[in-house]
Amino acid sequence: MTYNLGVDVGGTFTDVIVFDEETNELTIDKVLSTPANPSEGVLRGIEEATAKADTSVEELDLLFHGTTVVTNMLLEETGSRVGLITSAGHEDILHLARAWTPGPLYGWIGMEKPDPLADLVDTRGVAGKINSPAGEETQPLDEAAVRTAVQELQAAGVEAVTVALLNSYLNPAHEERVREIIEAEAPGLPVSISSDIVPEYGEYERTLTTVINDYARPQVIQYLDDLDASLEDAGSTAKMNVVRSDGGLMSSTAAKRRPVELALSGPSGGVVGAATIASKKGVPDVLTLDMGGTSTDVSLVEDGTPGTTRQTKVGYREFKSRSVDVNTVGAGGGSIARVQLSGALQVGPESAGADPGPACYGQGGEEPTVTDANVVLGRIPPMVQLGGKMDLDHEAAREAISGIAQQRDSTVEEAAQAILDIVNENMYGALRVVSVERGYDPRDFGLVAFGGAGPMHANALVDVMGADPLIIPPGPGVMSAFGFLTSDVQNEFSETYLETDQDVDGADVHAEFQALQSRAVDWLESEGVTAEDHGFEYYADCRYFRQDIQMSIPVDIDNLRSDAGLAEIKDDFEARHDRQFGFSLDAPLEIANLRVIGKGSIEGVSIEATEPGDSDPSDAQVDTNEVYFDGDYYDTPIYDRTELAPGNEIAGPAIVVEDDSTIIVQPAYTARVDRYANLDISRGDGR
Amino acid sequence: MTGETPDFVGEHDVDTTTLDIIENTLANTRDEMDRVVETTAISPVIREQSDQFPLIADAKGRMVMGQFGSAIDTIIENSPFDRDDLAPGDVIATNDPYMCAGAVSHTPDMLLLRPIFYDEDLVGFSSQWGNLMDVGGKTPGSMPVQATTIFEEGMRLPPVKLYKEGTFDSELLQTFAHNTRLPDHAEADIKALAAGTKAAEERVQELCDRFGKETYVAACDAILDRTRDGMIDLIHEFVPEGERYTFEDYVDDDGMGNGPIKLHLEIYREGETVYLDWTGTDAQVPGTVNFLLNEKMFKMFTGVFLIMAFDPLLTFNDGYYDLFEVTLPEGSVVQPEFPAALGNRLPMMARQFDVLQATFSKLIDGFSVAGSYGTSPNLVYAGTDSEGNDFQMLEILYGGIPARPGGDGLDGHSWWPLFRTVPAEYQEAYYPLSIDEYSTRTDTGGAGTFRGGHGITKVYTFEEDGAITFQDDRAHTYPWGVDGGTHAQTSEKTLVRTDGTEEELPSKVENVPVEAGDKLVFSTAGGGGLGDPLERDPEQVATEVRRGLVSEEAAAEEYGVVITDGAVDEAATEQRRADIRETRDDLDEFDYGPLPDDDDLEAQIAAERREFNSRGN
Repeated sequence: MTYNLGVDVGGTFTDVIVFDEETNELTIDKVLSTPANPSEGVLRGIEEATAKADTSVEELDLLFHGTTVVTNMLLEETGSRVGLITSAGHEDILHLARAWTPGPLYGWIGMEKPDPLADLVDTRGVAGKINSPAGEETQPLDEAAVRTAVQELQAAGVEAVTVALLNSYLNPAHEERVREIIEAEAPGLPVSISSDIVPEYGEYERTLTTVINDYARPQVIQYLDDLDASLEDAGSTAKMNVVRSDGGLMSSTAAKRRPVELALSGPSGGVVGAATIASKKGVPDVLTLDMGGTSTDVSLVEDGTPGTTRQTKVGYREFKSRSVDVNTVGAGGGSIARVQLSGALQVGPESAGADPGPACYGQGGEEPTVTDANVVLGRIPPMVQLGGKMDLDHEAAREAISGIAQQRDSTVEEAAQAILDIVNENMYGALRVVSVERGYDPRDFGLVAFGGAGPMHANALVDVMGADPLIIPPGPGVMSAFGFLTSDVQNEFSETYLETDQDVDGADVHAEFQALQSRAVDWLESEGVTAEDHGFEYYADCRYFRQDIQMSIPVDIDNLRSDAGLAEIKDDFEARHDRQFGFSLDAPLEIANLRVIGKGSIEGVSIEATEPGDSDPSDAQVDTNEVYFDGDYYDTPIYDRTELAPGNEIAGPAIVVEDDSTIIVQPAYTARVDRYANLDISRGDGR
Repeated sequence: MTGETPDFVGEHDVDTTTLDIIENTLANTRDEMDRVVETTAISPVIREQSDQFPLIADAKGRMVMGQFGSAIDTIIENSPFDRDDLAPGDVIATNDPYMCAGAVSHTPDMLLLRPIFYDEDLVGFSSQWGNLMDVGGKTPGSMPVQATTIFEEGMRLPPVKLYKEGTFDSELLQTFAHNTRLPDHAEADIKALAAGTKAAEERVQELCDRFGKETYVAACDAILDRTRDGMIDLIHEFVPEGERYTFEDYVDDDGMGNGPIKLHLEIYREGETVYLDWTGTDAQVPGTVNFLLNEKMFKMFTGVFLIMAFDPLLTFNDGYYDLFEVTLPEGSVVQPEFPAALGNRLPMMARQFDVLQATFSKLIDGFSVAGSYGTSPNLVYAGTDSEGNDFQMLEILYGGIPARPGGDGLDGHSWWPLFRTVPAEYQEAYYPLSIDEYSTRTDTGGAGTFRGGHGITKVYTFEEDGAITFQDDRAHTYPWGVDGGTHAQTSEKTLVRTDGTEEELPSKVENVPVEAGDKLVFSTAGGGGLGDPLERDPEQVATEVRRGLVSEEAAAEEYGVVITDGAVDEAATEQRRADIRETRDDLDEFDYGPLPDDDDLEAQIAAERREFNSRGN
């Protein structure tokens, strides 16, 4: 018997999901995370979940591991001390931070600028010049200065070193030589060079990204080494896959070299899982909504593939690393509502967090939150215990919301409804960024909602957006861990190209792609993926000559053998440009970057269908509650999701409860359990 | 209150939640307009420096969302058509400051204005402007230094329809572009600006679809009214009634030997009205630094300052216009008469901000901001390379952000929101030069309990023969310190020729020939300090010494902090601070630096220009 296991290490909880390859059964478990020593919580979760699934660590075949360890390190600034070696004259690159101050006018008055992750004290410039665009050495590297710098940095106690020199994206020779010298002078000190981490133009972003890599690296090495060792002690022979920000997988070894790729490891799982589930049921184009306690992540999935971006943002810092294109907004169950001086109601981004949490948690929180508004309106039935662990304090929730009602001169219900409307609007704004603003009409998409709070708000959102159907997958609270099981081994190989269609022909581009592909093959082999499982995707990041935009155009490289292939890329680019911005230009096409994504498929989970049965859900009804919708209270039946079966149909208004979340079905909507146990919610009678 | 109460004041037929939603959507739309333009424009000034400014207005042309105020009524007045002649799909374009009351203040700024219709009714406008790379005229970049009329500053488009009912007038655009040095850039950037205004049209129409046209219109009124209410509260709380406060500061010169140029502002409140009077400001000058200050824009700046200082969540819009009364003397440098040259108005614009924040620092207890690097230094390098290709680079530089209440200034950051440095790797890849240095100028920010930001030094080596044009300021006057904080250091520009000879250049020069191998060392000014430097935490001073941001000498002399082996010598520091306190003069509210008197400064500035001209420039 073999089992696969997905584990999602969050800041508060670690979610685990075990898949039995023989019976296709899924077992879900949740344990507390152990931020001080993260591998400890992971191991405990794995042991507890395997026991719950009647198996053991020894019988695990594949492990899929996603983690917010790097995300939190960046947000809380708890990474390692990094030394930085730059080109002489450019030592202040991170300090000057491209001079950016926030909008609007006078935005600098309140700007908070965190110190660079590599302190100026630990930064050294070394002479040596690679010119541009030729990429030729015009001044030799000052190797003596490099040695002195390394000795000083090591003596000062840096735990890792970043090397980021000007124009290294054109020719990495100087950076590679600096790395050799560091390895000789300070064996064992982790070193990253910028041309290896981001071989692209833009010195600030390349330096920042590489410094972030080193900032996370010593602790990630420690964490993954500890985890590997303790799993081995527990008798595991399973292959460990670490989930990247782009939803792909890599080995522990690769993760220890490039931890910057883990910055959005956690949220990527939910998107990949949602894409898989939606495609399986024949809805390949969906928006995803992952609403938690403090924030909501949204993304767009087209043709079963999550959108990706090469700009990843965590807190103040925006860096170059490929990630699932999630747009995050400070809207969650814990978001706090406030009435501004002007009378405007604001919800979030401030959150009551998990401690003290919303007023209804009864842990001393007094601020009115989104969860309290849901409680006041009867949307969280009294029988529900949040996280299975605490009783809800309805009085405290009402008390908190009544403060808002007084300031707005409204009833408590109206105030609660307004809080929900505003928080929904903030999420709608985030969804618009990934859809409408990029030229997609949300009415052509379904919406997959998950996370602890997503299923409670999603119906109101689809009502405004017109997305259809709304899909609530089974186990919406552990969607990321599930998503990990559906991931493939994946890595991206890119280079800056900066050529126009007037200067190169299809054969030139073809040759560049082949060179990138051979690097991808080497990597896949090093990750243990055999040749028959290799797959490749090719992209050209295009723009009109000198634009800033980079539109990623998928390329069929066989067509590049003739020049038709290049024309095909331009046509595709122009069509997308026109769709998104409403105009095209009579200007040369510039290919800014070429990228090859190497994939190796892994079967972590299979989703099986059950034939739908009777439409009558009455066996699953457990209670009735008074719930407030749009100005009125409705007698609303409450169903237990575990008792619902494929084919069952529920007319709204209704509430469906399960272990880790509460699903709201609004009046005039119908929910139907599909063949894969998803709950589909559509307007009208659902047919 | 000065005139009549505006018509949007009162009850509004929109529930508060819908109002919040519409306000949020319009705020997001403004950001979306910026993103559209930034990603589709071709000029590095727009794409890397965010030099474009979106707004959404109501049907009467009042800005509901934006930050530079609206001059829509003036633009339509100066156009060949009336408001009734506007149709869906029209887009008006203009880059003539005199035709829009200075809503754009020099010719490279192209403004596009799109009326927004719903069900055939006008429901609002969207507008956006951006800095084009070139609009013709006597120098590349269209911002000559040696010009005395706007006719030398390039092609001007009066307000005309670039799109008529959705049909693009390509002949008009080609005619305009034909008169510029970079016609492809001009065409692409103008189309990008039009795309930005289109994004707003779509969002506004969606809001009308969703909530109904009447609700949308009522919401625009309510948003204006809400801001007005908020501003009345701010004025009552922070602007004392009765006393009059004044401040004076200078722009160095006009680039033709005339200066210093005085700006004088008086602020006082009567009832709910705040009076802002520029009487006492110098007359317009022959050169290009005149700033055609739009009255509404100045009201906006004043309101924005109060909002950002005290209630940053309040929306900026034209709602509070009637609460401010502005006097702009005709024929002064802040209200020059046609056809005065305007190209290099940024020092004046920036100084106007310095003066405004200084006057508020005087009148508001416990809130002070120091003086800034005080302009928007910009550099053009143009020529024809050895392969016969023309090149033209334009770059904006940054300096020291002043010390702020509760915080240090920022080193080498942009006073202007959302601007970014152009990457050295971009410049080296596309233009024949190398960037040898881009660094913080140690000790150039003013000392204080909160330190002023330092200026930067950028060193360019030119790889082809060509010519440089640049405009900067604060080379003769100092960014002042406040409340005991000291002044910052001035800007400097030096050309190092291949034979090693060094030439100091004035801060405004035009078409100075450079040869391959010449270096330009461009150093920008710092920002002033705030509060007594002897009150600054010695550990913070020591950290900055270790980081190379403050020298050991400055630590000892300015801050009285004695550093030994990188650490604070506490006993020596205590002694040193006591000594300084004993011997120094009383601290001034403002430290203007060692300025000569007006006549001497005037003579110095004239002499500098004569000397520069005598070198054959």
